[in-house]
Amino acid sequence: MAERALGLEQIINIVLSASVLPWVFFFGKILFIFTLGFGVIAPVMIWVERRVAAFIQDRVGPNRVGPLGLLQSLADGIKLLLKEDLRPDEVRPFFFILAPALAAVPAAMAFAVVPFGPETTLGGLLPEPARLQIAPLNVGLLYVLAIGSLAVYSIALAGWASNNKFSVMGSLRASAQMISYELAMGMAVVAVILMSGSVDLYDIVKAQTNHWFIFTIPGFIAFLIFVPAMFAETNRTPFDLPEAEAELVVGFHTEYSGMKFGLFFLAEYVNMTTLSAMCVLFFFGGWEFLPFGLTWEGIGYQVDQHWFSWVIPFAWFAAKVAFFLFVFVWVRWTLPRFRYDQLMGLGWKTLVPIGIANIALVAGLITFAGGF
Amino acid sequence: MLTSDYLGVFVLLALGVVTGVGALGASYFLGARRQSPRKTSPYECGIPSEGAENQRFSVKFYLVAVSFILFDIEAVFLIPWALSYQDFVHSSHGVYAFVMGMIFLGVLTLGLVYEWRKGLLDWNK
Repeated sequence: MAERALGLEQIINIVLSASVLPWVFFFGKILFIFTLGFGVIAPVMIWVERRVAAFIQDRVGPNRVGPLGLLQSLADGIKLLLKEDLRPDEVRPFFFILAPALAAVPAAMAFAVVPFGPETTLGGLLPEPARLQIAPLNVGLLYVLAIGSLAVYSIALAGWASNNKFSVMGSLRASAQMISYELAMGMAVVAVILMSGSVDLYDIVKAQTNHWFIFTIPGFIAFLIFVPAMFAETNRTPFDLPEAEAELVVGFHTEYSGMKFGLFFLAEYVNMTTLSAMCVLFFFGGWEFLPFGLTWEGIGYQVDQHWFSWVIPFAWFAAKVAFFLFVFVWVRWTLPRFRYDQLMGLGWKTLVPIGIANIALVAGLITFAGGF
Repeated sequence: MLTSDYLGVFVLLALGVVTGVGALGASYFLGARRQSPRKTSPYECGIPSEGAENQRFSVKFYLVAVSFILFDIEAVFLIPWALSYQDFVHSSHGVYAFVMGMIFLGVLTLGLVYEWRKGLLDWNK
């Protein structure tokens, strides 16, 4: 009598064994987040962007491919893949191809530290509470800032390697804009570190159990600095100077077509998602239910009762992130573009000084008022 | 347990490289190939490109880069201070930590004011 093939029960037993389960958990998290980011959020956001744009402009938008046009991004992706791999004569070939690939790498890497739910033992399956975060780094915030800075390289390289007037101009603008607003963002983030006393993204969320930072005065000021910086970092309207269509064709990716352009496009949406997640983690209590102590435990929901109980806090976190993603789209189709001197003026003369003053404010409040 | 907290970072690095290289490679092999001199000439709104591609650009971009490096390093120095600030307060050295931080921020602000007065922050000058 032949041995039966591995039964379902046996497979489950192997997966749940103590030596295998941590690895299943580890790769499960990576698979979940990576598929979600690159396979779901980015394509859906591109569709949302076009549909919302259409509704704001009193049009219909893409509604032919799939229900409500939801599969439009898939169709576009296939189209981009099948497009000719065009390489203009004047470009520097190696860097011209490297730049779009380089855009995808930091976009993927930034996801590593985004915590997407409370600590969980999966309902007792794991021996000790583990974090719903691909890489549970204690320097998560610094890591995000560092990886975020790398995005400048792909844009600077793309413009320089294209050897086209529009591209060079666009990438110069983009680089100057991104580094300027990185400074403003850094100032806002220092205030968050002062309030939470940690650069660990989990601790930052925990520090907001009783009061989300958005509901504190310095936290609100930091938020007001963070949001424009967020838009400028991703080169989105009203700060989309690098690709100002009316002046620069499309700026740094003028010479790019097909999938090379597709990668820049994809990276933009993934970066928007990461920054929206950061905004929620810094100011809106991450996956916590409501401000002022109304946590999940506070309303009687056990986040670690079953192995799937983390899904509800995760969905709540995702909803908050989705709101900010919607704001990105909303603002793009509502506000006109800034002039370049206004852009640099806003960054250096308004946001950076306010950021410095805010750091002094929060430090003073902690020392002399005992809290913020 | 797992070997390192940083393992996930490297897995995602690999996934990012695979995404980038995979997408470009797939489009290289799947895409049509009908190149012509018209198609591969630099884009210039339909007319033949004229003049050097690498034109000289405003020195302002360079100045922004230099002042970014200065201020970003100072922001980096602020992070350890911010990180240990509450510990100072809890061990009742709050005033000391505050004064020290303010001296540093003061120097930072002086630098910003100097740049401002020199016109570095006025893009149109």
